[in-house]
Amino acid sequence: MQNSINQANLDKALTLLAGRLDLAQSEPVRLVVCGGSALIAMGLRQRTTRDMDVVAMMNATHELFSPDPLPDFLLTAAEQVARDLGLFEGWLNNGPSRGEGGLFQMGLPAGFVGRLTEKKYGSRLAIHFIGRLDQIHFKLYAAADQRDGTHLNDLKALRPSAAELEAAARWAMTHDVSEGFKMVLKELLTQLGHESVAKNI
Amino acid sequence: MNPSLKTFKGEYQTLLLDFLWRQWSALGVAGQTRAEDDWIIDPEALLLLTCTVGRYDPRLFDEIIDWLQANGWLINVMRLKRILRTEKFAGEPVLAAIAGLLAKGTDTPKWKQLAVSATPPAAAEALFFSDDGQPIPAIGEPEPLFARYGWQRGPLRLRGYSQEFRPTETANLVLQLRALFGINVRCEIVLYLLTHDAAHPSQIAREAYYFERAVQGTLVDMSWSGVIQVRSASREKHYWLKQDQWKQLLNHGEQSAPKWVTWPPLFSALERIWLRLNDPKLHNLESLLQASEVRQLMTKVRPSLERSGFDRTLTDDRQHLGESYLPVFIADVKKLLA
Repeated sequence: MQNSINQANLDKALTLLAGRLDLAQSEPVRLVVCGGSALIAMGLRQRTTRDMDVVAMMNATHELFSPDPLPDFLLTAAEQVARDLGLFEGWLNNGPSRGEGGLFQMGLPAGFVGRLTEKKYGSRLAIHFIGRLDQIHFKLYAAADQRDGTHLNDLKALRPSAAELEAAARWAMTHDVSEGFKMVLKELLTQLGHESVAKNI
Repeated sequence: MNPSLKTFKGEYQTLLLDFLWRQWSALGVAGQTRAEDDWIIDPEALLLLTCTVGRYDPRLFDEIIDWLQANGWLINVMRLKRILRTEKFAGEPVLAAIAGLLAKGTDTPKWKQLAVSATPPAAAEALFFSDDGQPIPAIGEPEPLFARYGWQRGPLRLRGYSQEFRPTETANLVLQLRALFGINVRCEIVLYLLTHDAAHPSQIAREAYYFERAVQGTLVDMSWSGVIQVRSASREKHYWLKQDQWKQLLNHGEQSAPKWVTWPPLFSALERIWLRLNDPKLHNLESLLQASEVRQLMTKVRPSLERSGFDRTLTDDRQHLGESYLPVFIADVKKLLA
C-alpha cells in the first residue's frame, strides 16, 4: 500500500531527498511546488496528497525555467525516497507544467516569483512553495478545466475574495480562450457565491 | 551517527572472516573449525572474496597463500577469470600480486597470465588493515613482490602447515573431481549433475561460469560414454547422471546430498555489502538516510543473492519503511552468514 503525503512525512520526504542529493553530490536543485503538497506545507489546508507537483524550476539567479523534463538525477533520488517511505512512485512530478499546454509554458500569474516561500533542505535542495493567491489562480483554473471536486474544495478552503477570484479568472481565461471555458468559469464563480465576479469577466 | 550500523560493521567483519576461515579450513588451510556444511565450496569464488575481506585478517591471508603454494594446481584460473568478467569483485589487483607470487619459479603459465591482468593501485597502499579499519604499516623489510604490485606489507613467512583437502568431505567435492579428472569443465559438469536432477547445457554454463559452447560440446562427448544420459524435453536436450552410483564411486554414498550454491554472485553481494559498510561516510549519516542507503544497496544485490540459489530468504523491505528497515537489514545480512 502506498502512503499519502501529509504534514509529517512531507518534511521527512524532502529531508531524505536532500540527503540523497547530497550523497550523490548532485548540482543544487530549486523546485517551485504547487498543488496539495504546497497547501499542506504552507498550512493553508489540512489534507493528504499522493504527489508533489513541480510547476517550475529556478536557477541560481532566481529565474524560473521549465521543469519539463525534470533532471534524471532528481528522479532517481525521488524514486529511492518513494521506496524508502512507501510513497507513490511518481510522487515528485512535473504534471502541472508538462508539455506545451502546461502552466509554466502558458504563463504564470503576474508577481508569481515575489509570492514564493522558500524552504531549504540541506545544501542542494530548495523548495519554493507558491503563495495563497497563486493557489487560488491554479485551483480556479483546475476546477473549471477538470471539473474536479478536490480542486473546488481546495479553492473554497482558501476563502478567496472577489478581487482575488476575478484576477484568477482573468488569468485562467488567458490559458483557455474558448467561450465554453468562460461559461464553465462563470458557472463555477456563481456556485461559489460570486455572481458579481461572474458578470465582470 | 547511528551506533547500531557501526556496531554491526564490526559484527559483519567477524562473521565474514569466520565464514572464510570455515570454508578455507575445509579445503585444508591450517586454522579454525572446518565447515560441516552440505554446500560444495567454490575455491575460485572463495579466493576472490578473500582478496578483499582477507586483508582484514593477515593471518588468514597468509595461510591462504600457504595453501595455494601447495594446492594452487587445483585452482582453475580460466574459470577465475570468467567469474571476474561476469561478477563484480574488487580484489583483482590483490589477486594479481598473489598470482605473481605463485608464478615465481614455476613453468605453468596460468598464474603468470593472471599476474599481469590487473592494474596495480596508482599509489602504494597498505595491504592489511587492523580490526578497526586502520591500515597496518609494513613492519620490517617490505615484501618486494607485493611492493611491485603496489601493496605494502611486511615479509611473507609461510608456515607450511596447510594440509591436503579431505576428498570424502562434501564441501570438497569440486577439488576431488579436479583431482580425478583434471582442471577442466568436466568437473563442474559432473558436479552440477550430481546436485541437479537434469540440466540444459546453458544452465550449467551460466551457473558454473563456462562458455556455453564448451559445456555443450563436452556434454555431447561425455554422453558417448553412456554414463552421462540425455533426454529430450520439448526441443531441448537435458543431461543427467545416476547420482547414487557416482556418489558410491566418489566415496560419498553415506553422506547427505551435496548442495549446489552458485557462490560467485553471493560472494560478490557479500563483498558489496562489506564495502558499503566499510565506508566511514555511511556511519555519519542520519539513521533515515542510512536506512535509505542500505535499502538501495540491498535492492541492488538482491538479484545476485537470488541467483546464487542460497536458501536464505531476504525480508521484503517494503514492509519496513524509513528507519525501521535498519534492524531488518542487519538481521537479513546476519542470516546470510549464519
